Amino acid sequence: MFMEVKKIIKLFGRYFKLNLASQMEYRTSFIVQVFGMVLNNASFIFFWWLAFGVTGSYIAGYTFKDVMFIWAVSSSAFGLGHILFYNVHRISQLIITGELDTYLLQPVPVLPNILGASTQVSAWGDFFYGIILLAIVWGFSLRLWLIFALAVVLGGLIYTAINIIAHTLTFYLGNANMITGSVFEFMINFSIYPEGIFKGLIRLLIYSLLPAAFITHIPLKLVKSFNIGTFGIWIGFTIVFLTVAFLFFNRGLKKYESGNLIITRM
Amino acid sequence: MKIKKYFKTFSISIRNALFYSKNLFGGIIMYTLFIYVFFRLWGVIYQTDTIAGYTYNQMIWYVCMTEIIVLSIGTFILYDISEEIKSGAIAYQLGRPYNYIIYVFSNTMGASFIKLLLYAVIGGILGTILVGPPPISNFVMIPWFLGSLILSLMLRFFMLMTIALTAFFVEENRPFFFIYSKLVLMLGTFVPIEFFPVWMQSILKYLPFSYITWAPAKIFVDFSLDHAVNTIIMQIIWAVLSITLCMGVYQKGVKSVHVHGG
Repeated sequence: MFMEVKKIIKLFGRYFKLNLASQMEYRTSFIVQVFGMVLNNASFIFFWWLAFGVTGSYIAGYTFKDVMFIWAVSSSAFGLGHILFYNVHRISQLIITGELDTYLLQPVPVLPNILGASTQVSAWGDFFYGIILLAIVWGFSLRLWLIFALAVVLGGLIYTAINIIAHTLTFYLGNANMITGSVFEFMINFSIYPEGIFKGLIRLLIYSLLPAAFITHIPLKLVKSFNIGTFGIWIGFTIVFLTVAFLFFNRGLKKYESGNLIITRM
Repeated sequence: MKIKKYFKTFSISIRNALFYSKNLFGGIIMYTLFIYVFFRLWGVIYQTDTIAGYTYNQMIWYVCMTEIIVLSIGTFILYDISEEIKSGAIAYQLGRPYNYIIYVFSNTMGASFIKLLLYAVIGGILGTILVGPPPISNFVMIPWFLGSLILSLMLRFFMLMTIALTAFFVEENRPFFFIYSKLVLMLGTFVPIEFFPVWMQSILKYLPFSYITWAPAKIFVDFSLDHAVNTIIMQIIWAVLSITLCMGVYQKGVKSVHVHGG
């Protein structure tokens, strides 16, 4: 078990180095895309500035600072998820076209091998934006930054896990493109608006099937007032969710039928 | 110039969109999600009857209208054109007996027309369910609104096309799309420009971004003849300028294409 985990971490490390090296071949493009994404995200500060200008101090129980916190976490978490595991978005395509064969034949665990195989350049912009935003709006305190760091890592993993689950549906449905695209939009939108605006069924969803609350809203609660119970639920839920995603994928994989496609992976 | 072929392109694009109608469902889900989020958000923000001259009912219908426009011609709808230029595949288009820009325009507008109709129906249903019937006080508004909507889509297309054509000159133009899309979202799509400080409003009323979503949506929710006439004039001016710029960038860019046969 320990050796297996070590092997997977080593694999991610290799992929990370390779992906970064290939991006750095086009340095100007890298810088332009990262900077473009930072500007893109920063534009939303303007929207919230206008909204709080109308209401005063609170919107659905959140202050301007709180909204900036959930923006910082979601931006960096999605950024980290896309830097390390961007290939998760290609799982459906790999299944449909039969390209999955190549991954099955390699002497490394299938899912980690798929996840790390590609990256998104602009995700670096998302990742850095969150850090810069938090530093400017919240300043520095050890508890804040420890929770932020943990939230970014766990958020990146939860985000990847929900995408794994959505893409795994392709094994069962034939083509789950519509679901995968919607999951992306839902997760983003439920993470970046005050939790209080979501009621009823949607509130239930963000704490279960589309767990956006565990990416941004629970970390915010912990920053504002730390509670060991909430902290435990946060960690526990993340572990369970990741395990479910992993098991679901492995179960779906048994339904995979090769298409005899001959390809070269370079 | 024979325009029949462009009408044919337009109608083929419509048939194509209808044939692959499953692809439209993703857009419906996104549209519904955005309207739901803004319905809830504005519901919390509205503590008084009106904000910046808009009632809650007007605000929700405003967002229904602006989202129809931005989703009918999505920001990255022309990103394929950039890729075509970068890969050199555009060379195949240049020898064909049509004006490339007008061809892309007809092709894009066909699919967008179907999306527009679809989102209009969904938006109409959602708006009515969430906040009641639309705030139409005068039916004279309808032709003005439709005219403004068409001009807004044209303006949006030619601005996006100009950005796509920058691929002739720069290696990576995706950030331009990002920046453009956020200017349109922030300057009128999410909030009407009446929410902005007065000094900003006077600047924004001369910029093209507000004429893509704010101006037509305002005609729909808060009709006045003055605003409608002013909108149409400004939209025509910006549409002519953006078409000229687009054609100019294309003419200059196309000269830099080297075709090596093959």
